[in-house]
Amino acid sequence: MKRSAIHFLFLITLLLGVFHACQPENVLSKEALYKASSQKAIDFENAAQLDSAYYHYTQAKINSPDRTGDLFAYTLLKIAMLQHNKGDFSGSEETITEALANYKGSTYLPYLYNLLASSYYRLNNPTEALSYYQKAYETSTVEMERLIYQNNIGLIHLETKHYAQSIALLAPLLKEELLIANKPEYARVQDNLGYAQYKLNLPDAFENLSNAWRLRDSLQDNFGLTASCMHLSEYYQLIQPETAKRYADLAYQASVATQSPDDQLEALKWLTTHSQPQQAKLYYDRYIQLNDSLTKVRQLAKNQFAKIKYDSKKATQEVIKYKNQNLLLLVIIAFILLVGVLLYFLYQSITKRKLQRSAYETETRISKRIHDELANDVFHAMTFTQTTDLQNSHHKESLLDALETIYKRTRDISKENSNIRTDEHFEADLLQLLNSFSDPQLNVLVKTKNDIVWSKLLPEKKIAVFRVLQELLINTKKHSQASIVVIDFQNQSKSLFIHCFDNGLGYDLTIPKKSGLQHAENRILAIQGTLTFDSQPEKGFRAKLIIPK
Amino acid sequence: MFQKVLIAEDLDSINLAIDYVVRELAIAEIHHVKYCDDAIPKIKRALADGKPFDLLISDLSFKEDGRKVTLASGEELITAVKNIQPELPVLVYSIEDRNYRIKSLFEVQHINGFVLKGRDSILQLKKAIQAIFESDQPYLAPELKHILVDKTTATIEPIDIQIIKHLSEGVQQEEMEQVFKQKGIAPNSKSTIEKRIGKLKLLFRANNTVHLVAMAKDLGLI
Repeated sequence: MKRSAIHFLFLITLLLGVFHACQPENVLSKEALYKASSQKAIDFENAAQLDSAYYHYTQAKINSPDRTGDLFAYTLLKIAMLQHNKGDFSGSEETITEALANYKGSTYLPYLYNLLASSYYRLNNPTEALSYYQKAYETSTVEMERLIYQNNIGLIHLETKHYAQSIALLAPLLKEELLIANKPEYARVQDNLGYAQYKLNLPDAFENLSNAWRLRDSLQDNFGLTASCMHLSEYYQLIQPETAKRYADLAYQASVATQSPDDQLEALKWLTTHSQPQQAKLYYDRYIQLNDSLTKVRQLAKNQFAKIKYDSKKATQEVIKYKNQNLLLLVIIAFILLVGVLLYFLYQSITKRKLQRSAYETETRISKRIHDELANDVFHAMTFTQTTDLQNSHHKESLLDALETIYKRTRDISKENSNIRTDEHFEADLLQLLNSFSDPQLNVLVKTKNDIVWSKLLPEKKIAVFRVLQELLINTKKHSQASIVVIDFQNQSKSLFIHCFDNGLGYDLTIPKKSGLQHAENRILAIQGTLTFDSQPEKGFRAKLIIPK
Repeated sequence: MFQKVLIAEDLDSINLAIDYVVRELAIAEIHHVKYCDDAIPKIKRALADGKPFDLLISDLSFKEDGRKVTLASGEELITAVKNIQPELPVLVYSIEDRNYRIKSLFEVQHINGFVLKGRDSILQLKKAIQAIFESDQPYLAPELKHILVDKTTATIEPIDIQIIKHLSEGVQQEEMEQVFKQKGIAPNSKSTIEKRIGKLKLLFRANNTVHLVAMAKDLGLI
């Protein structure tokens, strides 16, 4: 069992006293509240009512006027000390960290470092402990304190089993006059030195240990006595087990007096292993009881701390989760957009291909007609000129007739494939086209409510309507023997509906469609429209045309 | 007879026919252009010189041969010419036989005559030039005269369907006005209904109203 020193000089209390004297009386001010809380805390601390002292120090902390100043640092230091003494080393560490983060002064730095080092030491982190003891040693300007920090550094070496290093630091301290004058500290150093020497089996070990014990006994320093008795008990462990047990008992008594659970546990553990079975059981039961309650208390503190940690972690996770959700949403939106764009282009390309195919079909159709209808006739006219005497006026007339037929056919082909004005002339041109089919045999009637806004229809759709109606009327004129054909234009919300019907012979739909009608159908499909035929022999012919707007 | 004629025509062979006619008509001065764009400066020049053209004979369709043109068709040329010299008579000589295009030439471009290229077009040209010279009436070959007859009446409107429907339901022509007024159908004046029935009989080539109703029913109009 080892003991480190947490040493504060009266300087602190003195400073506080000066502060008290300087403050004007103002009960409502923060300073006044701070002053009142601090005073109460000090009173309770002096009366060894540590819980109450802790409460009032925390009140003082809340009312502290300046978080960067000495008073705030001092208050936190006191709180940390109380936590440390109660065994809440994590809490102590946290409090000091808060103080160090805010503190702009230098007066309390060594004390803060020292207490932090001690907390790390108790939290089994000797590396950090050593580093903060060094800082405390370096920042301190008070000789006595520097000696104490040197002892503490030596103690860490002792703890980390660097006994020689520990002795090298501790042995010179005993010659310091300042330390000789300060008996409790002198005893502490002597005890630690003796323990280090014992570990290395050095001859001076017993003398130092027992001198330290005697000195502490005379001072009634229970914290110190606990450590000394433990060390002596360990010393006697092998050579005089009975003496070892007696020291262990003494250590336990001293530890009970200190109210320090860790020290009590250490002592009880020792007693359990070095007592008679019956006695040992008693010690063991007490050890278990104490350990349980201690564990519970510590666990509670730890849980509290863990909960805070967990909550913040959870919050962070939720932020990440939220971010991830946002990201996911973004990715989904981007994906949908991408798919949409792709579909759009696919649709465009399909439409384009359909239109191209329709154009290609028109070309091949024209080519076929030129071949079938013109080339043959021209060839016939050529042969006729070569083989006939054209001086004969009768033959000349025949040739002219043949040529006129060729000319008219050319004109027909041209007419059926000539350009269509899709501008504001379209409606008039379309009506004139329909009327142009009227002759003494066939009457073309247009049924309309005059509510079709042609300008809103795309040019390719207008062309399709024009060509398909032309095709249908050519078909009617050639094959139906109808006397009346009605073209009914109906404006619907999303489409243009055209119904074309006659009173002719009708057409057997089971017979493959004539190329003209087939061609009309392809044109309508190319603009995503529909063209359906309905006919029975003697019942006329009906074509229903739907053009999407 | 006309003294100074401008011919806008891109095919030499057809030009020959016109040449033949104008020579026969003893027209003194004949100018040719193969592009519409070339016609404008010529007309402007003649106007500036105080010797304007008396007649423009133009085709409608001109071959595209890669030359960049501002006036691509006969219609555009005629419109442009009418802006420069509005009183200049224009005779169109073309293979365009689509009725509605020919009609539009008379109604929109206000041409003075139209001759369809064909077997007897030399004779037609001669007649047309003489007619334009002698009268202000537009000239069109007799077989094309029907084009200019107003055919807009070939349109059936919702009121026509109402009339036929009521006829089919046994409503007499004389009662129609009363019935329409009761039902709030307009127009409903006696003369309008009479005119409409007359027009419908003509359109359907029906001998009487019964025949008209029967035909409309056969067609599925009502």
